[in-house]
Amino acid sequence: MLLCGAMLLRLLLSGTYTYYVVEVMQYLLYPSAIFLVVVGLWFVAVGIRSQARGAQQPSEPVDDDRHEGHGAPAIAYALVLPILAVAFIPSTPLGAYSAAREGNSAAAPSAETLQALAASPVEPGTEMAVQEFVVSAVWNDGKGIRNRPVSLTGFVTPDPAGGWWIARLSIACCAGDAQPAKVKVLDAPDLPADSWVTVTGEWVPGGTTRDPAAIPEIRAQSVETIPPPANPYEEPFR
Amino acid sequence: MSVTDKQEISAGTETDARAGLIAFVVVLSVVAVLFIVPRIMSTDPAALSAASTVFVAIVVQAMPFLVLGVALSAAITAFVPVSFWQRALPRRTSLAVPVAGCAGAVLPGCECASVPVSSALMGRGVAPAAALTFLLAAPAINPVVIVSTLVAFPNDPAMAGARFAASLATAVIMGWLWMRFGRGDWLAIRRRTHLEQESRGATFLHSAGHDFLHAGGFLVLGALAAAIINVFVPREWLNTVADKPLLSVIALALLAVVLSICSEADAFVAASLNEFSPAAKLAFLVVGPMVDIKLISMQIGMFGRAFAIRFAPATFAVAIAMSLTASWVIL
Repeated sequence: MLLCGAMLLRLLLSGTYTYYVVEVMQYLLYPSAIFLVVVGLWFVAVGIRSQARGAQQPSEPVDDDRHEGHGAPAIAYALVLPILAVAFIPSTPLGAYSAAREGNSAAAPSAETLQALAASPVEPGTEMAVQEFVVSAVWNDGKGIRNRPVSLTGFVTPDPAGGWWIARLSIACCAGDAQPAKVKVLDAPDLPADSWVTVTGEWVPGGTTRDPAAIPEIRAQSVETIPPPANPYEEPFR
Repeated sequence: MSVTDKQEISAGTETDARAGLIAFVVVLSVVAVLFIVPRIMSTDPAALSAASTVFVAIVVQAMPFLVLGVALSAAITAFVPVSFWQRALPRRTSLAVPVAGCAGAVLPGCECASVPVSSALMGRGVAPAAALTFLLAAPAINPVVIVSTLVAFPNDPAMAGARFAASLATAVIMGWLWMRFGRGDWLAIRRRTHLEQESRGATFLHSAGHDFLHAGGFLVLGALAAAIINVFVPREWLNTVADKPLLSVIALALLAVVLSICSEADAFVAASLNEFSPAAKLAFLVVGPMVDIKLISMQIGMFGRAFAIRFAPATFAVAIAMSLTASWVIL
């Protein structure tokens, strides 16, 4: 138990927890980690104390579980697995492998979202979320991105058909529910998978619309490599 | 009535849980060997890294809720007198079941919290049928889940209503079914009483620790299975059944079982499954918080294999039936 709490704390303090769960979870993770550490310490203390008392006590109070006193049930050793995983497998967020496996899955946004998108003025060179770009292109007839250069930040995901997509994954709760948003990048040099880039360019109209799996295209004017951000995921776009 | 139940159900044994675990692991290993290992062999490290990330993510995400559930169940065991439950719930179990179902709205959080709490309730004399209804309802109808469903389906608020109705109906029906058909010796419950030498605080800590170790171990196994399947099973298998009415519903229900996503997030995943009908998506939402690999694993751990073998498939079937009904009526 102590180790679980410690593992959680390590993830939190080093910031790597963002690779796994939504940022807001930290408010839940901190108290949990502290709870685990405190209870774990208590068990250790009791164990040490009962060993110190030696044979004076009658054998430990009959545990209804029928396993020996403070011995942990065998299954608890499974808890070691994630601890080992965190300790020995370098923490990496989900990247090109996951993004390439699934098509875009942009469900139709609500009418209010579409109106808000159309109304907000987009300055040339504005940073835009990949999801927002996809939704604007596929569901909003490109309002807001037509004939205006915008900047997208994401990671390179090679397209088996040639070239690459710029992609971003969004998670609602934890990495298990990650959904990709992808935009095909034209006129760009080849880059290794999973490198983080900012692509500035213009939307290429004429792609499929009103289809949640459609992948819009952007013609790149410049591609800049950037260091990976601390939190690689976005929130689901609504 | 509840006292006799309690004595019956403590007849189940720890050995049964262990046997259940072994059986579970064997089945999983067979599946792994047949389908997944060949893929792993021909796969690049990126896939393994993704699987590892998803595995740790599921565990980490579940931890706070598991801690919450364990703390609550330990508190129930240590601090709440048995008489409270006798007063709070209707004496007749058939009424206690729906009450317990509605009470599920009170416990926000993923399904990992509800297993230890439900086990503690049973250990304190709450009729198993009511506790099981609570177990099923809590992860599915609490406010966080309903709100996230509303957000994920902005053009379709009926989906949240349908989810609420179908989930509550499933939970209550399962409670009544258990009342009618359930047998005490299918449940392996640990008696939860004060050890005379221990203070309440010590009972709390003792309980919390044991529950955490028990449930946490099974959680990890479930997460491992879910992560491997999540990463290694190709999406194309799904798309072939998307347009067939009944098959698509069953396929998404099975997907929900396998993905083991927590109930706050499954609405967003369901919304993204565009090729599927609303009925199928509803089945995904209703089945997910009640039957999934992570949950089944924890149920085996807390209640024994005999229980899980009967309870999980029954819940699966009832959940699908309720989803179909709700989608026909509401959607």
